[in-house]
Amino acid sequence: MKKLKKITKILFTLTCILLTIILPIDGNAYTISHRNGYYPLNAYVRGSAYFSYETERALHNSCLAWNNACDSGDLVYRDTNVTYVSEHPKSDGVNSVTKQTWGDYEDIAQTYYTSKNSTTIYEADIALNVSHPYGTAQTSYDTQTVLTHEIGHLLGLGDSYTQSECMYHLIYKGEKKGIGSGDKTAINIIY
Amino acid sequence: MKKTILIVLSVFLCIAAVGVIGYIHNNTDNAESNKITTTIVSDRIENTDKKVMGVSGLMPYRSESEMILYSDIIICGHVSEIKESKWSNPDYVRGGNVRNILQTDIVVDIDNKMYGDTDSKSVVVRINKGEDENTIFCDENTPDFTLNENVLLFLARDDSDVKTDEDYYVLVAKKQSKYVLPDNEAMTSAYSYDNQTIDLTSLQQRIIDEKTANPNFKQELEIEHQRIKENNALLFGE
Repeated sequence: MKKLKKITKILFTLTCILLTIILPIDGNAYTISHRNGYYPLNAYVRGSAYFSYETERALHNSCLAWNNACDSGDLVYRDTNVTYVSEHPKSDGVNSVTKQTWGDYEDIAQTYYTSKNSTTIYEADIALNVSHPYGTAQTSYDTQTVLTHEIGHLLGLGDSYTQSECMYHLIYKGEKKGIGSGDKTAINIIY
Repeated sequence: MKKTILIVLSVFLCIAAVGVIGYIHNNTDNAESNKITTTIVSDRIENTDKKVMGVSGLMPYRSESEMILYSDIIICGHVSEIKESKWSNPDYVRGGNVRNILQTDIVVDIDNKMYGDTDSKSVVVRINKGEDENTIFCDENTPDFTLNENVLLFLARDDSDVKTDEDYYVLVAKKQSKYVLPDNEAMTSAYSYDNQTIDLTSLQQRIIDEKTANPNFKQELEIEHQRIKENNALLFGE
């Protein structure tokens, strides 16, 4: 009986160790594309001068969402200056957010970054492809969800393959998403 | 006593076996699903002296029906040539509003035309991805192609800012619209994390059904574009 108790105890301990190792590995929840993230912090994202108040607010809220998700402090702010540049991408030291007309077969939005290696982002330009319908209606792509995803890229995150995460690589019309648990884990790994 | 020990041991071994199998499976999926990101952060790119231009984007979900409707041609074929990458707008000679990105033409020999108005034996598929002597341009959502790869592709004429008068097609939904052919019976999506498959035998009929049910799709799309333009102007300016 004593022997059985001892074996059970050992097995219980081993199971606990195994679970401790395996449980936190949620391979499909997030990916990190640039392990050093954005440098230097804080990042500022500058919207186009032609954006509506609603779009600027969406940009602000997207930054706020990432700041709230990061345990070590703020990461990114909406730049109160605006850009009149429509060229994309433009290497000018400004993280600009512009609208582009790229047609039906391109992404809803894209983030471009250039670097000498792929560990740190120094500048990233975000383009919103306005060939697709934006807005808050069920027949449109939610501006804030799109911007939150793209700012996630600016901060060094890759695409996620878990639909509940905002870094999920696909978006459906009418879908509204904030930061998911995998997104939060990833951002706190980088920063 | 021995029996009880054996039962306890068996239960533990079963749990451990399931755990190990699950762990291996999870990490296999992970390796597959992280493939594109891994490409971007691969050692080759991290250690390169070349300038790396990376693109990460958000794709609109496209159902099979939508991909059929958007397509000008749908083909099964094999990759016969991968051409040298070229810049889309070197020195911005085409103006500041046309992206200057590296593009690569993929020549696909047609084995089976599923839909479309083409008598050509091959088509050129242009992808926004490539490499030259100084730069690597990666797009997370654009699939890679390899020589002799058997593929099913949903293709359309380019409607983007970088389009030219050359005779080529683009994928209608980036990596969602490229399937690879593992055997002659079923198509397995290159999009392996959701294991989408396309049954070729019934695809032809589904194409006919979709195209017949929506004969004016492209014209309706033009009207929709006008509505989108007006709505988006309110959000992003003219």
